[in-house]
Amino acid sequence: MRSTPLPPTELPSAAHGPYNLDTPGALHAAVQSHSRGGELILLHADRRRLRLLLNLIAELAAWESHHIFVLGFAAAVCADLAQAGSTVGCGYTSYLRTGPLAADVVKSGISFNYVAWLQKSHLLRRLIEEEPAVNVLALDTDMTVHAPGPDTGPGPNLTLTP
Amino acid sequence: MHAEPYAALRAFRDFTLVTTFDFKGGFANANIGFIYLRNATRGGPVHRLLVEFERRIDHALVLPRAWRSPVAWLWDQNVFNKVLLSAMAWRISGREVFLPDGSDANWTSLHRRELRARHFWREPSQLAADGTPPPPLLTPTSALRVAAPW
Repeated sequence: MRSTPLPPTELPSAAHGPYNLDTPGALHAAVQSHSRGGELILLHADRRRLRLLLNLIAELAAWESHHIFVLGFAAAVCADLAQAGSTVGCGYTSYLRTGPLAADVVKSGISFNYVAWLQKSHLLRRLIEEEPAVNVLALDTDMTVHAPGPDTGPGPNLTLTP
Repeated sequence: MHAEPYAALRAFRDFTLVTTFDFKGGFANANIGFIYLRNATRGGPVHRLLVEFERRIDHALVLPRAWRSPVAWLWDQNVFNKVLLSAMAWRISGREVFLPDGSDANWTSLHRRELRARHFWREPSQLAADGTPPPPLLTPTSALRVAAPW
């Protein structure tokens, strides 16, 4: 007998996105819905790194850090996250994929990943300009963070292993 | 994730940008896989870094010279390091360096030794003039409020 796939634990809702960040008000809505105490954790990934992304979300959740917003390399990442049962916020942008520089992006021959990474920096600039009340911790998915705490002094507090 | 990151970040409450040291990063030796923006404001130093970053990307995208070397001119890690080092080195250079159109190339090539990141970060491997070791925290020597812990 063929097994029936289980439905996702939670279907996406308007509060989780996906947010088209090019739409007026979408970034503000995303920050309002997903930041906590003036803090927002920004993650970004493509579909190939979905498992890494879900793992990082779970690791952050273990530290009660649920104020997460994912910038998907494409809208499909948000759909995948929702399908996997994640309830973090998720959005996407067409920065450099449409607009006056889009043709130059094609001519440059840079990969889709390059564009996605540039989209993250663009979003950080927008967050400073449009959402100055929120602090942003932006993490790549391919890292581990060791943070023993503030009592040991600032030097050894953070260790990045790319 | 071996610990709650905000506990550690509180140690850097006076900094607007916290990023990570990466000796393989080149240029400013930062790895922007970890970035914490705290109280950054429009027109402030960190915002200006990101504006300059986008300006260089926009410029590089229309330069066939940059298309031939995308890692050097269109990869976010590389370009951000160049922008950061350019800002930190301003007090000795008085000009932008590592520009995608190569307009600074002669000057930058002549001054490459002075543009090393070690002149602008206090790294653990460097002893102070009196022989005392520096603090484990990389300390920016420019007016930028940037921390790069590891």
